[in-house]
Amino acid sequence: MKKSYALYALLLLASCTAPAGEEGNKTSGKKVYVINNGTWGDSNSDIAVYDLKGKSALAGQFSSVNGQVPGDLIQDALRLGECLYLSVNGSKLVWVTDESLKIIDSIIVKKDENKLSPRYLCTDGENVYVSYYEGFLGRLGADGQTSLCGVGPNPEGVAYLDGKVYVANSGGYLYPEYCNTVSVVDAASFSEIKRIEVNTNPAAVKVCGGKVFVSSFGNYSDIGPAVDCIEPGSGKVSRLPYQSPSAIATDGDEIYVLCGGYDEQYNPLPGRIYHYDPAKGDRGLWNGGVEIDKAYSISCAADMVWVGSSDYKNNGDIYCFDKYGDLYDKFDSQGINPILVIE
Amino acid sequence: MKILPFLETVGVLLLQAALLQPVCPAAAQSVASSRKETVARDTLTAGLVVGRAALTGLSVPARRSGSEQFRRSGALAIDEIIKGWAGVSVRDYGGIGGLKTVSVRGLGAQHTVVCRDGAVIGDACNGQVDISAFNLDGIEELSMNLGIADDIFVPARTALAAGIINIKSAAPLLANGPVEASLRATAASFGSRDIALRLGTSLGKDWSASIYGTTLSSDGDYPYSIANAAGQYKGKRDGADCRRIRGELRLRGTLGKRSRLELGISGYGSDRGLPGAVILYADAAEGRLEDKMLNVNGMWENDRESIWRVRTTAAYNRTANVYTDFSPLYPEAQTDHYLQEESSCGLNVMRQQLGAWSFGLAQDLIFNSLQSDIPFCPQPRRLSSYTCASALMQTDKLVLTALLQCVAIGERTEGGEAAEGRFRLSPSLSIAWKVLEGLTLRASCRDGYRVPTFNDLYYDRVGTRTLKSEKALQTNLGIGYESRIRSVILRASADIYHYEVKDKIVAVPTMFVWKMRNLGRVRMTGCEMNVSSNAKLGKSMIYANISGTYQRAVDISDPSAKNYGHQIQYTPALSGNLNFGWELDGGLGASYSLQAVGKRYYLAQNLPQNALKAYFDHGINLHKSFLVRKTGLDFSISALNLSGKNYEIIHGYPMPGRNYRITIKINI
Repeated sequence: MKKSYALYALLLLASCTAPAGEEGNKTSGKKVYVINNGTWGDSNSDIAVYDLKGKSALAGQFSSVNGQVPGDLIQDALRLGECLYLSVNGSKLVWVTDESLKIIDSIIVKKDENKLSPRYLCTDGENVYVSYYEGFLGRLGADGQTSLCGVGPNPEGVAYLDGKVYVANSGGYLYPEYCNTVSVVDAASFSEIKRIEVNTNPAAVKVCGGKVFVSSFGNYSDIGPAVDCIEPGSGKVSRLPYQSPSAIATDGDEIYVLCGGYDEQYNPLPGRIYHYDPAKGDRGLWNGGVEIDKAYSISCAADMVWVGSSDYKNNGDIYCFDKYGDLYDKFDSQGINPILVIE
Repeated sequence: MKILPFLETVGVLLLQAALLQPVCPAAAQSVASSRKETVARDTLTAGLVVGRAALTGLSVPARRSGSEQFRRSGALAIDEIIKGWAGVSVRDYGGIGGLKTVSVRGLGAQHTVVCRDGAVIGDACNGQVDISAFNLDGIEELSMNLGIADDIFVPARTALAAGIINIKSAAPLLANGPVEASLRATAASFGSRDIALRLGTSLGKDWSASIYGTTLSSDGDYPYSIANAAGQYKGKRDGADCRRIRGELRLRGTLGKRSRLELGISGYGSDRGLPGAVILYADAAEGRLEDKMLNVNGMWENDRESIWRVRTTAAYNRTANVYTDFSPLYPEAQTDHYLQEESSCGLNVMRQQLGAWSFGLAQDLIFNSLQSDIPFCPQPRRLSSYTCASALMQTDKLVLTALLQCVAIGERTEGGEAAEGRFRLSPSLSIAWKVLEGLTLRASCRDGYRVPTFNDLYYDRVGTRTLKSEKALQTNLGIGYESRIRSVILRASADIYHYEVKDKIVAVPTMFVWKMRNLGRVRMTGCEMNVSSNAKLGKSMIYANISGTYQRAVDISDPSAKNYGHQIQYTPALSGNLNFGWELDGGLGASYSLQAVGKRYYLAQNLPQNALKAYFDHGINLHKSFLVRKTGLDFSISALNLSGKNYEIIHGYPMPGRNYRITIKINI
């Protein structure tokens, strides 16, 4: 981050830091943000705001509020206190906004004069951690300082648990030899302390029930996708019993696994949701195994489970299920590739 | 390329030498006279002298422009002419080095065939030709037919293409002696410099040679401003520089009294930045492309008046591309090498003067190969056989053309399974009926298709080896009118058409990677009109051309999709062109051109946020010819994109704003 913004950023991050005991404090739950990833190179990502009570979605709210678009590919979003952090991968910046999506700041991190490409976000309640695809984990500190820590190649998902940050090293740009490790970064010293081997091409990382769950894509050939569970203490890895998992999400109690895949002719198969209790293990199909056409993403927010569907060329759809698995609403995501819903 | 500064220096010195000589008004008149002769020659060879006009008497729509029009318009590049033709769109990624491909009536660029002096320029890897590699120096005529009509003596592989662009090189005229030469130097905005040298000489009684060389360099770093929600995003195009060099040698001769032989060799090299789409807030050019091309070709044909016409052709083309990605996401710069080779031979036989009938048989054999070091490239090889049987009936009132093309393709790979062989019979029928003198009705129908490219079939993870060929049933009805009243020529044409594309080859996303599949169906219905005129009024020649296209091209692939029935990407419903000009006998002239393109969508769904704004691109040109002692001198100055808007033809690729170009050409 530019030095001239250091003091401002300090104040900003202090204002964004969740007060003790309020981390994860749920808002009213009446409105959620639907993050539309957009299409690569088109700078057309944006955020729709969905009113749960009124069952209506307002398109392009970031652009409407700010008079400028978020940029190319909002990859992840995170709430910290009353601030939202938006990781915009193609545009190589992190927006910080208030709840109305009004821009408070933009954070650009450079390495050797090159802007770094943010991917995924997590927080320990004070600091925000960002994976940068160039091979770094960044810490946007509550003290206004930005730090970088080297991790594995092309990191994707990140999650914080008990003083450690878990980073999925995809190795996406090493194709055809993908990476298959998760870096464990000690938050206090902000240094990588070890790498844990998981399935090839790990992507999303979620924490639930004191365990770390990692979904991976495999190598798109002879190694298939999988979900692995890491025991933080021992580093032991076990494989969850799901075929063709493509995305995971957690409400803090369970892991929801979206499974789909393709037939031999690459016709997409409908997505179905499984759920997994970290303490009890696999609980089988969720919501009776309802099939969702072109399922693309899964999120947990506002006590709901949200599944985004996409054909990658038209606006997506969002299926909103209540905690019992009943479909509450289905609506147009107001953008392409709805990748995430947060509250 | 160290040769560039040297050639530029030589060019500038030559120009200075010429400019220091006194201008002779009488000699200028002489130039004007010779210009008239050139115009007359154009009239004979091209059939018209007006700019960017449609030909009216053929059984399929056709466009044609000659060297005189190139000179009058100040155009230097092929795309500057083609984009003014009705029904044609040039996909331009901006800047001099930007990729430029041609699509016809909303069909993909893979349905367009480009021929240089009768030899097809092939690209089995991508299936589309980058026309930015060619400029108009030494080009006598540029034409495009939307199908084969009224001339069945053509290569078999062009028979069923939706659009056939023909680039015809000029043969040396040698009117003033055994040697003729021209040197053109151009300077333009954004650090662009361009020099072309052309020599023509006779080699004895029956042979002539033409040599052509050109170099171009451009910084390409133009400023731009594009829409960003309610505001504008401003930047400068970085990494769009281009260096290019091209050389050609062509020999033409006669063997005995009845046959003609042409041999050509050409080389081309370029090194250009690929700035990519503008990524808001993060401009970073990270790619470069080097191209090297060698082409050798030969053609022999017998007497055109013979009742048995025979032509044989042979060509070899080698294209090497090196793409380098400097993205810091890679551990080190990523370099991919591609080597394409194409060897081809062709035979045309036509029996003519059988009353009103002519019959033809054409055969092309083509061998393509691709070698690359990208992961898992199976190094494919393809042997293609195109056979076309044709019949042509011509009377005073009627022209009927029937074709039957047979294509057979076999492929092999070094790794993995090759795509299955393909065999296809495709017919085509067209008719032109001269209702009255100058008034012609036409109709045509053909079963066109395109074969999947190597990329479609084999590109790692993306390609699908079971792809079928894409089919495009094309029907056209049209009317043409032509009248000459004293010195005024008026031509008008109108066409309506309906195309139906099946098994369209599209990239379909999967959860993990994109895959090529036969999924798309597109229906295109449209109409085009073109009116052109030129008139000699006293010492002035006035010419004008106006054309317009309305097209409804909709995706009908999946009734449940949100884009069902929506206009397909990058295809405007409305577009048009206007050109007019004036020229005095003394060689002073001016021209104006306007291209208007309506709203388009860059994504499949026709939503306001997916729309690209309509744009107008207009430019003016002033030109003057002199004769300095015995040296002809053409001076031209152009102002392009006068509105200064950085409109986008392709989303994220802003075009240069207002820019200027000065050209000086010496003819010896």
